[in-house]
Amino acid sequence: MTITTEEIQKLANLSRLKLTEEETKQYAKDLSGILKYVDQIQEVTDGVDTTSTSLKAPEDFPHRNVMRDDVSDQSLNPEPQKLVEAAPKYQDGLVEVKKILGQAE
Amino acid sequence: MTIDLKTLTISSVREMFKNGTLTSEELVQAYLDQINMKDKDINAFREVFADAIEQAKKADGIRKNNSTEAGNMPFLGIPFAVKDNMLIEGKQAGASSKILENYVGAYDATVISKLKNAGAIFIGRLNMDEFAMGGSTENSAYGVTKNPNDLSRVAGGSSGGSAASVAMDAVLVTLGSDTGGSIRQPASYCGVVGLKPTYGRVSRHGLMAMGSSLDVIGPISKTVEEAEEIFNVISGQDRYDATTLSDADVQRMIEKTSNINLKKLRVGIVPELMNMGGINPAVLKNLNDSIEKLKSAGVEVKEVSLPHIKYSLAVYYVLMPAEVSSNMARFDSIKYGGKVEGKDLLGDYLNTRGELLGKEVRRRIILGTYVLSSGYHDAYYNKANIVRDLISADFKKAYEEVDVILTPTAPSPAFKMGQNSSDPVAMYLEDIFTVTANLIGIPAISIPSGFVEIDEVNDNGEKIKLPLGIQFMAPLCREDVLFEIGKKFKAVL
Repeated sequence: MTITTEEIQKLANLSRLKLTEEETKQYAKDLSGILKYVDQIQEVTDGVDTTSTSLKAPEDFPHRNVMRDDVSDQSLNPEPQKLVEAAPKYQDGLVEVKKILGQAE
Repeated sequence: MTIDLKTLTISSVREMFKNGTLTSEELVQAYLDQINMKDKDINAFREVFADAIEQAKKADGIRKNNSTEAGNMPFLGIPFAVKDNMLIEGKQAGASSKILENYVGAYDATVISKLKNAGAIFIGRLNMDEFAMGGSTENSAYGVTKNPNDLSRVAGGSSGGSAASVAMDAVLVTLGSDTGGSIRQPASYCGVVGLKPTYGRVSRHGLMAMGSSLDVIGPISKTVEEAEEIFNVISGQDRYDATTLSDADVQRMIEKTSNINLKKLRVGIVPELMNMGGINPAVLKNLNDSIEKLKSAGVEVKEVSLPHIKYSLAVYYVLMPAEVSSNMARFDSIKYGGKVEGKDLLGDYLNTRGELLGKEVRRRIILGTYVLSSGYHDAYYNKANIVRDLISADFKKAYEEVDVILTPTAPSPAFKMGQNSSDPVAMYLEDIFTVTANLIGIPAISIPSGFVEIDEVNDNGEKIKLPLGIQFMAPLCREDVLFEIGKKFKAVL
């Protein structure tokens, strides 16, 4: 599997990473090498049904996915103000972000 | 007073504290002196905490004034240091990344609060590969941690600081985290003990996530006994980590392997792994010597077959980056740490993540995004999950015949700085023996197994000896088997 620089650029945009041209070329080369290595899993054909998502817990393991009810539990949170203060920008106890609505055309 | 730091263990220190021949303050001062002297060369510490002596004095005060409270604190005054990806309230934690420079923990990780309750003190935080991604600490944004046995070589990674600091006698014991070998491989390179517990036995709350189905916290120490004691304190179910196992879960798992007789352990070796090539001859020889030593101690050693284990590393390098790409999405320049301004919100994202995340972190995010993208999801992510289950089934079968499986910890001794940095696949191959335990959740331990003398001399004109380690892997929740075989092996080493 060879990855092109165009594909790297697309993946970088999807994952919100700005890359230089040099880095784009390097990652195309690196990823092609890594995928060539991991492609050996395609040899495995026993017990394989790739249409199932396979997120079932192995028989032996106590659990793999754990869910809890979607209810607010304030006792799970440390002091909210401390979390807000970890933000690069905050004001009056609120995290500050750039305006995303109502921008000029 | 001079303290022989090399021979200290938790139990010997506790004994000295108890009979009054040593105080925590004196011990911490000795470690701070050692750090001052050696860490300029090694670079194991990201930060030495300014209140280390203060914490020690407080512990000494409790011992002096409140014997009841002191009696309930097995680690009272015992100096720990932790990897830079675990939160201590009020202390910086940065995962050795520029994107978290100056970030301060808002709460204690569960492992930290458990250790604090046991009386432990924390003298510093330790260097690592950025966000635990790497096997050499060369991916730290703050410089590589060098190997105390040879300054031209790496300490291993990603918990390189955690292993090197114990090996250079700069702290008694440390915590690391292990996603694919990040506790065991540096322990092996530095000649110390490293334990990766069963997934879910130690809470991940307050640990910066890398691969959420793989990550686990564990101890690094000079002896198996210390690793066992620390594990006993930090393990247990935690309401802040839904994947932690309850006591009933653990009991149920142990019952499934109740046929194991700790006095008569059967050790399995895996020809498929040993014959695949790419293993340093000194490592193979050391493994064979170790097998002979075990046999001489009356341990039964036999071959077992694990037909899918050769795919472990490929499976790992699909699933781990997939989880990395999801976990790293939280670094968005809004919630924590650094920010590089752009012209709009998208520009903030692109600039911050592009400029403040290192090369390997970005490589894994892109790889993870690829294997999860539509069109490739089935061929990579789903396929890898299926093979993961097949590997798990192989081990289940093997554990019908043996109680514990033995491999080298790493395919080579510590390598030279820069040796693997231009080829990611060469670097990833260092994880070949360790990733399987993370994929299937089982516990594993790396134990020092001797040295290999290389054809180079150090500054004193002596031939350089590099440590080697062997790895034991036990069934789920059978850490007790690892401690037993580890002690047995060290006794005959």
